Amino acid sequence: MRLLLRALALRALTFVATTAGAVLVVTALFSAVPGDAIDALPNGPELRSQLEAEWGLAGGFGERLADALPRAARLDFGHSLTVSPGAPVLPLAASAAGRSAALLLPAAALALLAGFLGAAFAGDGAERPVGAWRRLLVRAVAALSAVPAVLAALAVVNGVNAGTWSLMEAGRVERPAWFALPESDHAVRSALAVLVLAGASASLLWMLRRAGDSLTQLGQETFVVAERARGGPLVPLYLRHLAAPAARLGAAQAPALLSALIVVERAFGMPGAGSLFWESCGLRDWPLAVGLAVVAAVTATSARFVADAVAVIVDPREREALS
Amino acid sequence: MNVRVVPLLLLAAGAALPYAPLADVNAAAPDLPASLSRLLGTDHLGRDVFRRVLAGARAFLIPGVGAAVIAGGLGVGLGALAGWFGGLVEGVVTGCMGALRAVPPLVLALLVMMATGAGPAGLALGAGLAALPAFTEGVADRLGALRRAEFVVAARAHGISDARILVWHLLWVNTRALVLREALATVGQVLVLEVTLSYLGHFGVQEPTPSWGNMIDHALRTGCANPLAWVAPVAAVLVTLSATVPGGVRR
Repeated sequence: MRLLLRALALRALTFVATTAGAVLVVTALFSAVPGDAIDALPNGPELRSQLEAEWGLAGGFGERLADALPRAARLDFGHSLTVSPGAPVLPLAASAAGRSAALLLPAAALALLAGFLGAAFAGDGAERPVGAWRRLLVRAVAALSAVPAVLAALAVVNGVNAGTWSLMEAGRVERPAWFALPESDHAVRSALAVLVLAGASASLLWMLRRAGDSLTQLGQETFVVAERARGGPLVPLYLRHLAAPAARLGAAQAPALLSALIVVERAFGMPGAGSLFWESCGLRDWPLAVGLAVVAAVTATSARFVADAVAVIVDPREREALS
Repeated sequence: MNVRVVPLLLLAAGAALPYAPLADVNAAAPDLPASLSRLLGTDHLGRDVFRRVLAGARAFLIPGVGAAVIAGGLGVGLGALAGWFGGLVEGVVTGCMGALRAVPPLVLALLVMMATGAGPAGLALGAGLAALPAFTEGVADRLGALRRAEFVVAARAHGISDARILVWHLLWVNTRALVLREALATVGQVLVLEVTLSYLGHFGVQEPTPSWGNMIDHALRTGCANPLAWVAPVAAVLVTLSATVPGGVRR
């Protein structure tokens, strides 16, 4: 138990240090951006002297950074300037993140499931040989996922709309409730967005290979070989010992998923942290953009921490390696 | 020479051809199909799609090479320090790379571009920083595995200096293929960034300067009757990505 707690404490320390570093990077970069929200206003030059004092935008890079860092440490990102004037940033960012979680979590789970099931179907980690066509099929499908998220999103939105319109014009189908993307707020739109997020740029092929490596490695472990020789149940053993690699793969894809989220939310017209971040950059609402970028960085480091914690809890060798 | 570099070299040769975007506009010949004189037809403004695809490669090749040089230079240096010395040095370097990796690549590239200017230099620097953790960790892992190898012990026993072992035997002989692979992946990543930023607007390459991203965006937005106006740049993106990033986007 002491070893477990010590290992978790070490991982927590790493999490705090990494998160602090990421927040420092984000805050420093935003402090270096020239121009501010006043430039985005139509009568900005006339109001500059008044708004600079009111919004705390006076001062050079050093002053802005010296002001921003202690506030970031207190999770005080101030108020939105141009996107939702006067609204506190943290609640705005948190609610946007909550909406995005409805896309992110299913997409991450789907990518993991597809990776491990695909690897198992392709015979990775299995002792018996499998047909070459099976491997080829899985790899061909996964290679499609190498399409960047932006192209996949455009292809899905335009393709689905064009295909449905053709069918409607030919009289084959009635106008569906979700037509046309991305204007309609419908479960079909959300489902397609999740599929694009999970498949493209999350790279099923990458997931397939890593999942295959994990399955192969686990299949060669002595305790698995022994259990197989005993004729015991392998599924609970695999599920328990794949938890850590699966969590690690999920954490590794978190930053890329967060990047792709911006594109997918814009392409599918869905409100969330990604589209709000892009809007705040366009309107130079730096407090809101910093808050959202920090939320994204904390999400990525938290995913990593959870993955490390799962590994430490499940696998005693991880605990001993840290001692 | 790595065979995956060949398509990029061909592309670079095509991108080096002179192209004047405004002079290419021909309002009398919009949406023409492919022909012998215009291999991929024209777009909504009568511009030659084939020539724009070639010229559009500059939008990612130049920043891509820049990003690879930045990430490779810094990454090899930091990775060599971490892998050779290990211990606290490795911990510090790995921690810094962990912090950098936690920021989503698009967000990081965007921040750097906003701070330094949304041009090729900004894109190169932003993408280079986003690619830095992969270079550093790859080189550090490789050196960490090799620094106690028998050939290293033998080289030391023969009186070869640590500096020569590190630079020649470890970095040049054993790591350059890895660095080249990561450099190609970085060029591919810059292509994805450029196409994404062009679609999203604001920070991408702006018309009339051609880029594959703004060609796709323009063709879809204007409903260009010549499908090659968007098929050609999409195909170019996919072929280039398959050459630079086999196996999907880097993690």
